[in-house]
Parts: sequence; C-alpha cells; structure tokens
Amino acid sequence: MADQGSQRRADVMGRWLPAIEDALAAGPGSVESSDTADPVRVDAHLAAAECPAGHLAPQDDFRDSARAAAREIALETLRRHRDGAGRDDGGRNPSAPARDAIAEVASTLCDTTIFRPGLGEWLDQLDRAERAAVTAAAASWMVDALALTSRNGEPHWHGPGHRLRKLRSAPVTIAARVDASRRTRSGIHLLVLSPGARGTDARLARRIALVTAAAHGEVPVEVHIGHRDTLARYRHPIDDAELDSAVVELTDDAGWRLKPSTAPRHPGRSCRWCTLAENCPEGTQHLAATKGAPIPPWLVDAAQSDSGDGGDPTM
Amino acid sequence: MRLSDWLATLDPASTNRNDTVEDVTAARSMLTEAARSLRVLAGAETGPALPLTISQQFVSSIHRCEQLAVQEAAGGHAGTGWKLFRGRALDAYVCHVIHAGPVADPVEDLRSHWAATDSPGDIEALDAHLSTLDRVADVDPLAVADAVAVADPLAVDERVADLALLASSAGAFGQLRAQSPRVEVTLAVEIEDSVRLPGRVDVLLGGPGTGAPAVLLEVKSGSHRSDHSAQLRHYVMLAALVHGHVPAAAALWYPSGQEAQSPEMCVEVPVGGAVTSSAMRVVAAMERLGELWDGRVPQRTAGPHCNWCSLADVCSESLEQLDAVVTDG
Repeated sequence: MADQGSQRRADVMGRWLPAIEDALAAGPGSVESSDTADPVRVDAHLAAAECPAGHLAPQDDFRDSARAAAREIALETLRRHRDGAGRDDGGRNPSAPARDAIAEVASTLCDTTIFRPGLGEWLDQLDRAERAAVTAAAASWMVDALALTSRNGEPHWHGPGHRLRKLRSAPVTIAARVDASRRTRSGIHLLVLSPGARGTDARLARRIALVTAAAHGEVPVEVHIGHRDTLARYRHPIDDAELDSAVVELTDDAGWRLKPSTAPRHPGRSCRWCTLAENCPEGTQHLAATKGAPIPPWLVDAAQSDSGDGGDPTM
Repeated sequence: MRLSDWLATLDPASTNRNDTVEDVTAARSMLTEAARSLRVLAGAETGPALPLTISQQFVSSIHRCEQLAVQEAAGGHAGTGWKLFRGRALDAYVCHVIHAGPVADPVEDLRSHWAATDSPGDIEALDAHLSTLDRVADVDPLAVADAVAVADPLAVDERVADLALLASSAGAFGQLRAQSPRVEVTLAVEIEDSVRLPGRVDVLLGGPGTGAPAVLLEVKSGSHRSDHSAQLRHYVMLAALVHGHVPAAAALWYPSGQEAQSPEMCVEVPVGGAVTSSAMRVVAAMERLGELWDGRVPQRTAGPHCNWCSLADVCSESLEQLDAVVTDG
C-alpha cells in the first residue's frame, strides 16, 4: 500500500516537475542565462500580487512586526494546541472554544526557541506592551483561522514555513505557503488565509497546487482561499487544465523574478505605499487620477489651488 | 454603565434571528442600486475610476458639508495628525488591557493610595486576601472589609468602594478576554465592483466561528458624541453585510471615562434598525457624490465642523454663522 502511494507520488512529480522545467527552458531565456549564483525563489504569493512590479520592487530592510509575525505565531499555536491530526498527542484540543486563543498564544510565546531564530530573538526583546500587541495580532489571526475552518471540522494545521522545490535545470526554487489541510476520501484539500479579495485568488490557488504537486507528489482536490476581512472561504477545484495554466504563469513569474524591470505594472491601491514611487509612470498617473478620491479631481484641484492663495473658491 | 455590567446584560440567544437577515438583504439591494447609478457615471469621459472607496468618515463629512468633504479630500483638514495619533494610542491601550491586563497595576495603585492615606493595616488585610486568590477580579470587597473594620471602623465604606472599583476594572478586562476578542477587525464590503465600503472596528467579540454572538465595541476618548454612534451604526451595517446577519449588540467604550470616579464607561448603541438607517445614509452620500461628478457645485453648510475646516476664514457660510454667534452673544 505504501509502495503504491510512493509510486503515485513519484508519478505526479515525474509529470509536473519536467513540465515546469521544460516551460522555464522554453520560456524566458533569461532564466538559463542568468548569472545568479543562488537559485531565486519564485513564491506562489507573487501570483497573488495585484502589481508584480510593485511586489518585486526593492523593499526597505525586513523588520519583524506584530502584523508580520501574527501568522507564524498563530500557526505554531494552532499546531501545538489544536491540531486535528494530533488529538491524542500532548493534550491538544482542536474543539476548544475560540476564547482560549489568547491564553494559548501566550503559552506559545513562553518558549521563543520554537520560532525561526530572527523571530525568536525579536520576541525576546519585546516589552510588556509590545508583547500585548503581538499577542493581539496573533490571537486575531488565530480566531479568524478557526472561524474559517469551523464548518468542516478539524484541519491539520501546517507550519509557517514554505513548501519548496529546487529545480535542477534552472536557478529557480519554487515555493508556496499552506496554512492548513484536510484529507478526505477524494484527496487532500488545502487552505490558505489571505487578508481579503484581490481578484487573484484563482491564480494563487492553482500555483499552490502546482508547487504541492511538484514538491510533494500530490495534486490537491481543491485549494480554499479564506478571506480574513469577510470570513468567507472560496473553493478552487484543481484539475490538469488549472495546473497547465499555473505552469505558464510560473514561467512568467520566474522571468519577472529574475529581471524585475520586465514585470508588468498594474496600478491600484498599493501605489500609495509602493517603493517604486516616482519611478513608475503608471503608478504616478494612477495616483494623480485618483487624488482626493472619491471626490472629482477638478474639485480637489480647485480646493488645493484656492486654499493656497487663501481665497474662497466660489468667489 | 460600566463595560462589565453591559456585557453581563447580553443575551447569548440574540444572534442569527431571521428578521435581521431581511434587514441585511434590503440594505444590500439598496446599496447595489445606488452603486449601479455610480457605475453609469463611470462610463462618461470624466467619470470616476472604479471602485470608488467610500469611507465612514467621507459619508459623515459629505452630509455635514459637501465643501468640507472636498477640503478633506484635498488635504485641507487641520489637526488630523494629532487626532489620528490619539486614536492609535487608544487602540494600542485597548489592545494592551485585553491581552496583557491593565497598563498600570491597579493593586499597586490601591496600595499607594492607602499608604498615602496612612492605612498600613488595610494594606496588610488586602495583601492577605489577594494571596488567597488566583485573579484580582475575584477580590471580595466585603471579605477585606471585615479585616479592615478591625483596624479602622470608620474607613470601611471608603475601602469597600475602592475594592469594588478594583474588582470591577479587573473583571471588565477579564470578561473581554473570555469572549474571543479580535482587535482592529477589517469589515470591508465591495458592491457591484463599483463601490468599496472600508471599515475597521476596534474590537469584535465573538462572531462567526466562535460559537458566541457578534458584539462590536468601538473605543473612544473624550465625551460621547452623536457622530460616535453614527460611526458604530455604520460598522454594524458593514458587519451585517460581511457576516450575513446583524450583530447581537454594539457599544461605544470610553476606557478613560468621563468622570473622576468612573474609570471607564460604556454606551450601548441599539442595533435594531441600524443596518437600514446606515445603508440609507451611505446611499444618500452616494447620490450627493454622483451629483458632484455630474458637475454640481458643492453645497456649503455651516456648523461645528467649521472650527476645523481650512476654509473657515474665507467661507461665506462659516463667516455668516460666526457673525450670528457674535450678534446673539
């Protein structure tokens, strides 16, 4: 039985890994000709970016924050206290009421050695108020996750790390994050939480499925994207056609990741805090067009120019 | 009313009522119709880019004075920096008291107070009582009062009141922690890909997936004002549209209180009818906005908001109001 499972996984990987590698080899020539020493990571969440160019723009130095750490801490807490797969292990209680979330997060934070080194050291430096902010963010994430999974029973909560697969034929590592999974007779169903609807859910879902197929040898039946702002969960069934689309999209993303200047620019809400700022004509144009929104721009212009000379704009 | 007293009055069975679902359906269709009208405008050459983001603050401003809404959009809103900073500080405070307990240690405060009033025997009685408890919220004022009475019978009433306050404060925060609080919860709604209604309520107790009815808490400083209630009713509407049914209850919470003897205060905002009235308020704002995009000149309406409008010194309506006040005075 175990051999059959291994063979099946090998078959899945044997189909989708070469498909990705062939597409990358035939796609952006830059992938093979890149002089990058280390493989670049092409994250599935690039597929969810509204604006690939903005997403790939150089960022300020990464700093841990309550918001950034919330998911990691919440997932560790869910794994330690709630995991449906570990009901008889270590006193876990998947069906404990959500109100226990704060106490469980506080308990998880007592041992910071379980987190990646950077995060653990950062948590150790926090004072009481900062720790409260981190607890609040993590407990809120955790209660949202419990709300999004409450109808279908207890899932298996995943670690905060990525699923990774380094490709042999290209300097690329493909990556995806999965927050929870549930196994049924039909196969495995994955869940990923997102802040809210972005119009790129389907893209993200099939990319996560592709990385799972290539890295773990299993094609998920469905990928569910749960929106934290609406607490709604959307199912994205996965089939071969979806995975084929994901391969094509992955090729584009890998090319953009290696040469960020070629990434398309899709102006939108994120332009306000994008680090490309004045170097992006599309973003600048979008900001000018939506300046003062939802008020019509001519009224905003009039108000700004008239406030400058102190006159009444209607006189 | 204190928050702990108000939370104790909530009826756990008051969620998921069918009549509230009808309110949500009606509000959604009202908003959808108004959003479609804005979509028609977007087709024009000088029409708006969709989706239009219509915040609660914008709805409030455009109903007060259309020119005020224009000035705010143009960045002419004086004093916003401090107001925002104060709001953030208050949010951080609430987050702290829910998750780490009171910022100041109420027991230490009480010890200091009693030490200053020269009552070492009372402090010993308090400490002896606290050493038997797991939580400060379990303080039994009468039990301590018995010990206090031996030392100074005249101080008993005063000490009982102090202890009751201590237990109440600790109890208020403890009750919040027991109701699955989520802080700074985003409640965004998008209608017909044309209009986006963003919102973020300070505290959501219970709600979907928690097994407890949803209760909204909006934290405020200063005195209770009607626009605080309007803001919370707006969030009730957003929560109803997001969750599919009206929250069980909503309240404004003033953690700093408004009187010296009141450490915190809670004002309930009735949720009955809040979804419909808030939806009508948003629809009316969308209609005004549509007229502005159609070329109408913004109306000016004088009022208390003139005090922080950047046009106050040159706006004829504002100056007329000022003249009237001076004449009446």
